[in-house]
Amino acid sequence: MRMFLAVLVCRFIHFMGGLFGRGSSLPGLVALKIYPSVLAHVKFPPAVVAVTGSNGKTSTVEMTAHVLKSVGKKVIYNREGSNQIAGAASLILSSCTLTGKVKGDVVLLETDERYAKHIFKYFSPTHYVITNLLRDQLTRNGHPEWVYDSILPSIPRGTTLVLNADDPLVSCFADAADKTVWFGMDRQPFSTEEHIGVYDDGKYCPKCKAPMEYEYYHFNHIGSYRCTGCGHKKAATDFTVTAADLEKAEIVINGEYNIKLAFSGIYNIYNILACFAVCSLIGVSGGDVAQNIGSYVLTNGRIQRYRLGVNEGMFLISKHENSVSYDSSLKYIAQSGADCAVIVIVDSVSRRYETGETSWLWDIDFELLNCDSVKRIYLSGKHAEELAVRLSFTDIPADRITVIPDIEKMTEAAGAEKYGMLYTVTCFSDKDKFLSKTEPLENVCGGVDR
Amino acid sequence: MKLLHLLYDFCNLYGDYGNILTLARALGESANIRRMPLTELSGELDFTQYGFIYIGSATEKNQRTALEFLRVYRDALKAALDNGTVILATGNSFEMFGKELTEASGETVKGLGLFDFTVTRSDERTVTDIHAVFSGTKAPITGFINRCSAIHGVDSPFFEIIDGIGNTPDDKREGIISGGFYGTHIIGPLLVRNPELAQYFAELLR
Ligand SMILES: [Zn+2]
Repeated sequence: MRMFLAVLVCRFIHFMGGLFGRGSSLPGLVALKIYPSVLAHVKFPPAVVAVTGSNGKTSTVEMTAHVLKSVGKKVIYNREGSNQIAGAASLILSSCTLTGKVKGDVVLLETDERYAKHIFKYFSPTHYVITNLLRDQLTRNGHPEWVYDSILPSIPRGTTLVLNADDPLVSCFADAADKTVWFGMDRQPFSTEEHIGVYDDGKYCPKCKAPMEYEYYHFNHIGSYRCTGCGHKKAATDFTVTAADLEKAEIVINGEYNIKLAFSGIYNIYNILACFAVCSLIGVSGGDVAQNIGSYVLTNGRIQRYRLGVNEGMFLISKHENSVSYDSSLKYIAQSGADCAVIVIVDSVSRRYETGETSWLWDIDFELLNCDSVKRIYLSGKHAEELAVRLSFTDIPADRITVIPDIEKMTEAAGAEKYGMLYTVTCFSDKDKFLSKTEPLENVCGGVDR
Repeated sequence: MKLLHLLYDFCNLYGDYGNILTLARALGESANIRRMPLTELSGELDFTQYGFIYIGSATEKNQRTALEFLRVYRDALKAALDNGTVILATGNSFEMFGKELTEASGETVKGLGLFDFTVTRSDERTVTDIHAVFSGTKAPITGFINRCSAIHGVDSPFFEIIDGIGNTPDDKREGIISGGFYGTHIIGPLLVRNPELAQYFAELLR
């Protein structure tokens, strides 16, 4: 009876929410008030997939949902912003029959790193994907090891973990799992033997803190490692990017499945690989997965293009408080090689909370912009001066840097002088402040590292 | 002027290295920074050769490891302080210099014991912007706290908090100054955000 009521109320508010445009977690919040353990009594379908990690979980979930729907499965999945318990309850209950049976073949959940342990108190995913643990929103997350400790108690008995073998911290979760499936990438032409970046979170072993040795790095601390102390090392992978060609924008999974990339970033390769692994594990054939990832990549995650004054530009979305996300945009600019100017805007650090905390600027590898093709760098937004101080500690010549805190004035200046291409690097929280000053152009294929 | 960035590769969570770069810039060309990784903490080390030693924030696990490595050099660090070296420890690194540290689990370990304060750790993290007053600067100090611990028994704090939290949630005094030792739980590039504070340390070293 309580189930009946909880589902009914959830559906009703969900419906009313549609009319009033209210937040997506309210129905779940009310349902949980009526019946706190309601999720423990839901009849789930045979596949319940959870995805967590610092970067790439939204992309992985959306891609996976697309592939599963394309092969005819009914997928219940959440979108960004509803990844805490009330959001999960809203999603699941509004997809239930009045007796509490989920009307779908797969439940696919993006879960917040900090809240997963509260969600999985009531039910267990069959497959639990952990993409990576990187420095991300440290103002709320503390640090990657803290997030690790937060995710660890969320791992239920019987769940198959799907882990990124190339991340030494993520790999530690295997110790707590009944079963682990590994995904990872073999050495590629772009892999490096030396670590590149401002900080090296893979220098010491997450288990015993002895120094680690890397055979190669793909980015940051992601690569093939071995601890000189306890022997913790990259596991043999079940799902593997065996070849990746960033120039041709193509990867090969398990030696036989070719997938075209829209955005030649290393980061998206992991989202694709995680998606491939999950879909395969719940019974979709490799060929079907590859084909449908291909069609997803071609139509989604496009890079926004715009015109600003005399210049055409590309908008490279990057997450504030997430240096890996910034590094990926800066690498893209550096590798493109053509003459350009770059705009970096840091105005509101977060959409969700007010903070003046800008220590993350020091974790970004701005030295990447010290190349001949980058003719000018505009720094703008409330934190423009702090950006200027940060860049003053790189070898970028000072006369290439223009600081204009006012975004509108900056756009006037950047639009007046002709550059080959005008890249803009900033976060969702500052996106519209910039794009509203530009004229939209047709978008090109590209991916967002979310 | 020789500056030491102690455990630069191990206690480096929040862009803390900006502090020592800023201080070196304030000191001018005479300053040079020696970056010491964890793996170099072995054999005999003489810390008295440095005018300034900086150490930044670490994960709780790294902090415990660092503490064991530094324990061997407790007397060497004490000798440097007695000899006039200035030490700045930001974030949780300053906790290591106290008498003892009690984990949330109840486990207690000895600190380096250079000072009498004690540290208690919890499972909850406190994150907040802070504004504070320091007697050595005119402008108030701005910074950010990101910690899961409280500090007890400090008589001579670094800052008086205007807005935010001090050594314990209901204390308005933050950090510690004792002789040439400056400890604060403020994370990240404190000397970048507060140029006057960088000047203060530069003056101290001149
Ligand atoms: Zn180890």
